[in-house]
Amino acid sequence: MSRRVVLSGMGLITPCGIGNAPLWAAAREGRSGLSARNEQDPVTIPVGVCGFVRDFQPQQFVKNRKSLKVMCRDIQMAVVASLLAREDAGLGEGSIVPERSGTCIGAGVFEHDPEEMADSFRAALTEDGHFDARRFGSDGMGQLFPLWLLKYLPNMPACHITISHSLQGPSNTLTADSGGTASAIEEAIRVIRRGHADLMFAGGAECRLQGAGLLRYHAQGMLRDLSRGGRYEIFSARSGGAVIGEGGAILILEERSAALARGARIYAEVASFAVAADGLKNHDAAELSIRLEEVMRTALREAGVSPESVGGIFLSSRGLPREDEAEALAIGRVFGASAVKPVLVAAKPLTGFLGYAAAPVSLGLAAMMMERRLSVQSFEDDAPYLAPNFKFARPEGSASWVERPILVHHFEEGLVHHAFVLTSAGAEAAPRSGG
Amino acid sequence: MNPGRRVVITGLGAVTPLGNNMQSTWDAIRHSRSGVARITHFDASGFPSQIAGEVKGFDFESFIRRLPELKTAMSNTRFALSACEEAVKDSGLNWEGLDSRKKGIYFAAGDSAASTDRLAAAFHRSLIQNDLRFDMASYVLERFRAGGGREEAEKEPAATLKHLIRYFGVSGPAYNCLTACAASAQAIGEGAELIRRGESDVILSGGSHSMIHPFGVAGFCLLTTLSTYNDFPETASRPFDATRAGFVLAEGAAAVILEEAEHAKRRGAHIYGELVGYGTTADAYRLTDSHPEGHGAAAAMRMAMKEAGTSSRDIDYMNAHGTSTKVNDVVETLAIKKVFGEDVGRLWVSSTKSMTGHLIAAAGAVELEFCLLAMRDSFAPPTINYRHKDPECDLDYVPNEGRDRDIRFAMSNSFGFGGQNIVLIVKKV
Repeated sequence: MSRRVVLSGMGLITPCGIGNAPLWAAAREGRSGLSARNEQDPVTIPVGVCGFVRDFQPQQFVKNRKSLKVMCRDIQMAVVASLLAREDAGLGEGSIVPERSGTCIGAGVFEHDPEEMADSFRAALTEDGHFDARRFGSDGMGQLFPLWLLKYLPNMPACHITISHSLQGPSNTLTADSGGTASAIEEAIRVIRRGHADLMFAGGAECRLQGAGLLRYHAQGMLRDLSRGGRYEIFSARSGGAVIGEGGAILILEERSAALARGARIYAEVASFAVAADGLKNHDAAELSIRLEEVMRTALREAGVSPESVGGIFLSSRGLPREDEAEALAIGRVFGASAVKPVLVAAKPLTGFLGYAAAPVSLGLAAMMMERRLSVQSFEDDAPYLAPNFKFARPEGSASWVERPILVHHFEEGLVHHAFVLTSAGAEAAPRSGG
Repeated sequence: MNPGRRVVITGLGAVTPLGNNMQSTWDAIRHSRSGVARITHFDASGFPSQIAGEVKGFDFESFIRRLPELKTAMSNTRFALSACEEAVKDSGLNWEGLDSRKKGIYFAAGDSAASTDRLAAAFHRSLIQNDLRFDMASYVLERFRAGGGREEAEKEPAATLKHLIRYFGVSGPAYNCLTACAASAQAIGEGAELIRRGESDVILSGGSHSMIHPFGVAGFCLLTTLSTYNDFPETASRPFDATRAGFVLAEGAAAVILEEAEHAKRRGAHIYGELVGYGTTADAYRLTDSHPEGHGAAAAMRMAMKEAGTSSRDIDYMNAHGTSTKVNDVVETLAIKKVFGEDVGRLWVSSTKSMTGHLIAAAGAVELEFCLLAMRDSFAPPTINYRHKDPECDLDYVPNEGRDRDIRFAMSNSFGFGGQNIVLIVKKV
């Protein structure tokens, strides 16, 4: 039988605050971390409301302060999240076996700081504003910080995390836009299951609110500007784009018997996951929904969980109409016949879309709910417009549905689709082979 | 030996500084030719290092004719698609006929560079007229006004994955990893694990990268890791030689078809070799320096041999990471000696980076291909430009000319900035 994997710690940095407690409190109260830009925030973003992480001071957490100089903000956030996760997992000094521990991180291209490059660019410009590569080499390059390249390499979060915690087992960095972190978590689970490690740090970070970091999302037409009012809505008739946040989230995944042996608090067991590439030639919501349905059904089958027994679903929804429609169709087909339908939970209106930190925040929040046996508060109406037969989560009393399996869904059109099934720590259902 | 299903390699493809397909690349290796020359992609005359292994005469037009959206694809993606298409064709697989859910991708595409002209134009417009001070707000507004969002998306490593998924119609698992110089070896190792665990029958794997642009060259020059033998490009990459002075940046792609062994046998596929060992460790030491005693590298080699069920006596040929930097080559030699002990005397080690230059994320995959072809042809590739013996590098590096030998097991080492150590072992079938 495959080795079982549990989630025994998490470090979550979100627009709701630094650490797990502020996120949990905000989630329980239905208090969004999104806010209008103020004088402390970067002045250069094209939307007025975002999920800013304010008062982030990595020097309060990172012992080797000199190392912060070679980290961009994304890397800093990943490293601090790893320190918070370790503390949360109760992994004190000497409790990590280096050769049996590793990391899998999701990360893409980090946004360079234009201020940092200004002098080198100035030296490389011709009088008419063209870039002269020769001048850049002879006069511009030397204006850059010697370790400049290392500040922005995608695998540097993993590198710093391995050094910070002396993790000498497998280390990987996965890149597939926001799904890269779901991929990283899947790989961490596989690494533990196949016996190459007993403990893995897995997650990611994204901070695109600096410089021109939002340019890509802007060009994709996916930004929603709430500066004239309104709120970040998903599964709604008024969905019209994503509100972007920044954050970092690292999960501690551990082989179950090892976690039990050290008396770890176990948030939840990752009973299964499923993954499938989009691979569609022509995108429409109906076709996309078939692929999503397959992924959800595979994850449930691998976990040995029936759709009827699922208590809740953490939605992937970013508020993009076609993605939302496809996800709602898939959920309707998989769970629509259940007498007691799973409750829907959406983390994005709480934190904004966190890119590479989105999937681990959803998984972390779902696991917290299961461990505490309490529901969070959703922001949406009782009946989601796109899934009228379902209900959004409500926090009243202790909610029995959080004791049942929770499906956490994550996908981006055109890339890779992921679904995880979490079961409560005491559940005896063992995952099958494969995912 | 991993108890799971067995994994064999049934297709190869490559785009390298030595040739735009596998055969021409291997021919150059067999003839000890270098693919390094002066940089032509941009005017590098102001840089300390002005040489690189560029891909030459690469034609992507046929892809664009078939799929016009590929017009904006960057080099990483272009090289990747070409190498993957060659690998699929070489495998003889009826690709379209495969169950799309049982074929997957585990690739290692690197990131691309943004257009320097576009960045410069935005920067130029954001200089305050009187004193040429940089105004950040203006710069960002200019970037948004000028567009280029498509380009921003295309420079992400995920863009290559997205194109591969779409072009090859894959609905199984799909991943892209980027662990610097170890990336494509890691992609192959992890891709094989997907087959071993039964998640896929066929995985398209490998890597692609091009950092031969002003920012890439500048980044490595600042780290003083590049060779500056600008007047002697073809002899600039000289791994293990006493006069080595840094690596030579290169570009390209390499793709392999990983296939479940019984699946391959049933269809009578040509099998280049079986992937029997995969070692993966982290140094957890420093950002760029490997551990001075080669702990992580040695641990990865041991792990791969344990997985393969081999001893140090079984390995006939090793394709070393061998970057031609002062530190790597000494530490790698030390680690090899630790692992192989007395058996190191019968081991042939070479660095094909002496000919290809360093393809960064694509390096591990192309070097594994050389191991497979070395087994097929019973020919150990050389380390060219080896003239001066370094007392700290004292192995048989197959200097300058390749040599014939029956190779039953070959090992390929790939170590990356950031401390990742990946070792793959292939076996002749």
